[in-house]
Formats: sequence, structure tokens, C-alpha cells
Amino acid sequence: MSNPAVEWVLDQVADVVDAQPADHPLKRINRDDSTILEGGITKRRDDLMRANYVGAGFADRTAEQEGPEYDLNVDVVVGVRIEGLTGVGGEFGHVDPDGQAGVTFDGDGGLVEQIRNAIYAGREYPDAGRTPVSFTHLSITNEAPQSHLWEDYRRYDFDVVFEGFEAL
Amino acid sequence: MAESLTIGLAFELELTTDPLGATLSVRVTDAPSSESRRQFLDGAYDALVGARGNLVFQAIDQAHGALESYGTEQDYRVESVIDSFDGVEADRTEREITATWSWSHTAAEFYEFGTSDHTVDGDPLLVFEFNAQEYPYLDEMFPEGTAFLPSVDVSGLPEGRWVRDSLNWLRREVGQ
Repeated sequence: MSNPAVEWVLDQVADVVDAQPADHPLKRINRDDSTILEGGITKRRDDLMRANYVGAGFADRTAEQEGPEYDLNVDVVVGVRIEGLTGVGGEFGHVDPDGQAGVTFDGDGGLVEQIRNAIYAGREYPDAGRTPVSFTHLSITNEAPQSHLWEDYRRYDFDVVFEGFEAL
Repeated sequence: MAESLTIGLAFELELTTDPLGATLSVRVTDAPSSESRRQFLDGAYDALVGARGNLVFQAIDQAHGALESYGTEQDYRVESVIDSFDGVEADRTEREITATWSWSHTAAEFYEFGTSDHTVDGDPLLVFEFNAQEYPYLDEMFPEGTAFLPSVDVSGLPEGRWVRDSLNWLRREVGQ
């Protein structure tokens, strides 16, 4: 079964998918269930020519007992990865800083910001835990733009950290 | 009315890329007196970066440990990335503590975030010396022992998360 926090993140991003222009779609990937984002570059290049991608995968879980209470403090980390290929200069991707040949990536109002805002919109008591786990809030950490590493490939990662407790 | 004894704080810990590393800042936004602010920052400085076995040191140690395990699992040599650690630069002003640390080796980011399989193109050619026993098909094409190729396919690296996990750990420690 897929991690509920990963599912929650992908659900939260559904409105961003709907808001994309028809010519430059966004697809969601559960990285724990799918190999699409991890595949070979030839295939990945083909994927990124069809759409931009947002992927979420389980990264870490910590549970610690604190104080004399019988609850555990629980942290769950979900890694989010946003990817695109430039649509500028004869390339067939869906990202363009000017918003002409594709959508803006990590600029003002761009894809990264839309996805971040969609996740923050559910930051209070996100319903992302299994039955005994209740999260009180989430935060976004480890923002990592990586487009400087590549010529025509755009990538931006961040972590969503869910904090709450597990009733024992 | 009794004076408030709470100290207002802003704690920030951010991942940096290019080079891969982190910046940390602890700022006192509100304190009952400058003396209490100074005392608080003294203690925080020791715990974070000053004292033996401080939290930043522990986080970096964890990152290196995670990178070594990753190297062992994947059979990569990671020592040069560990050696490229630039140390911790810490600063202390009247209201704020800042610290930065990073790894300057280019592979640091690739091990952290992973890469997909990709093709490296020559400009115009890539030149390789190769072992004939290991690459019989190259030996057939280049009997001299030096290969000239327009491009090569490189297999991707898995995502290591060695720095990000250490920062999430540090945030939890400081948050408690």
C-alpha cells in the first residue's frame, strides 16, 4: 500500500494539474509505485516532451516518545520532485521562462510556486496519516533548485515534513 | 504586571545547492533584556556550533555516514566528496548566529539528488583509454587501445538524500 502522506501530497496537487494549459500539461507520479521518473533518459526525454511532471515519494519517518505521555511524536517526510524540459530553441519540452513555448518553471507564479502553494493550502491538520496518526501541521523544507546542473532539463525538489503524533 | 520572560526566536535552516550545503540562522526577535539575549545566544552558539560534539557537527557526521553507506551500497568512491567538505563558517552578532557549510565537489549534488540514465555528447568526440579485456567490442573497433566516440550512455545514479536527511534531523533536534 502506498504511503498515505504521499497520496495526500498528490491529491493536494490535483487542482494544479487541472489549471495547466492544454498544450503544456502536468502529470503526477507516485514515485513509490512507478518507474516513470526513474527511467532512462531516452524514455524520460520522451515523457518530458509530452508533459511536465511532479513526483512524490516517501523519504523518512521518525517516531519518538517524548515525556511521560503515551503518544509518540511522529514526523513523516515526503520528497517532491518537479521536472520539465525546455520548450525554447527548437526543443519540445513544456517549460519556458517567458511563458510562451511552455509554462514558467521556478519563476514568479510558475509551476514550482503553484505546487508549493497547493500543498501549503492544506497545512493545518493535513489528513495524511494512517488511523492512529494525526498530523497537526506540515512544513516545506530543503528547497533545491537544480536546473544549474543541466542544459535543457529543469528540476526542483523539496521535502514536505508532516508533524503530529501517534496514539498508542 | 510582571515582565515577560519569554525570548522570541527565529530559527532557519536551509539547504543550498551549487555548492551543496546548508545555511543556518538563529535570530533573537524579542528578549526581556539585552543581558538575557546575550546569555541565550551564548548557550545556543555552544550547542549549535561551539561546543565539542555540537549539533551541526553531528549533522555533518551523519551526512558523511549516510554518504559512505550509499557509496558502499552502490560501489561508488565517495571519499573525494567527503574531502571536499569546506568546514563550518560560523558567525555571531548581537542578535544572531549564522553558520554555513558545504561540499564543493560537483558529484556531491549528483549523489544527493540522483540522475537518470543519460547520454554524454562529445565536442565533437570523447576520447577514452580502455582495457581491451573488459571491452572486447571496443578493442575490435580501436585496436590501438584509445577509443574515439561521438557519445556514451551513462547509467543514472540513485537519489542518496545524504544531506537533506541530515538537515531534517537537525531541524527536529533544534525544534525539541
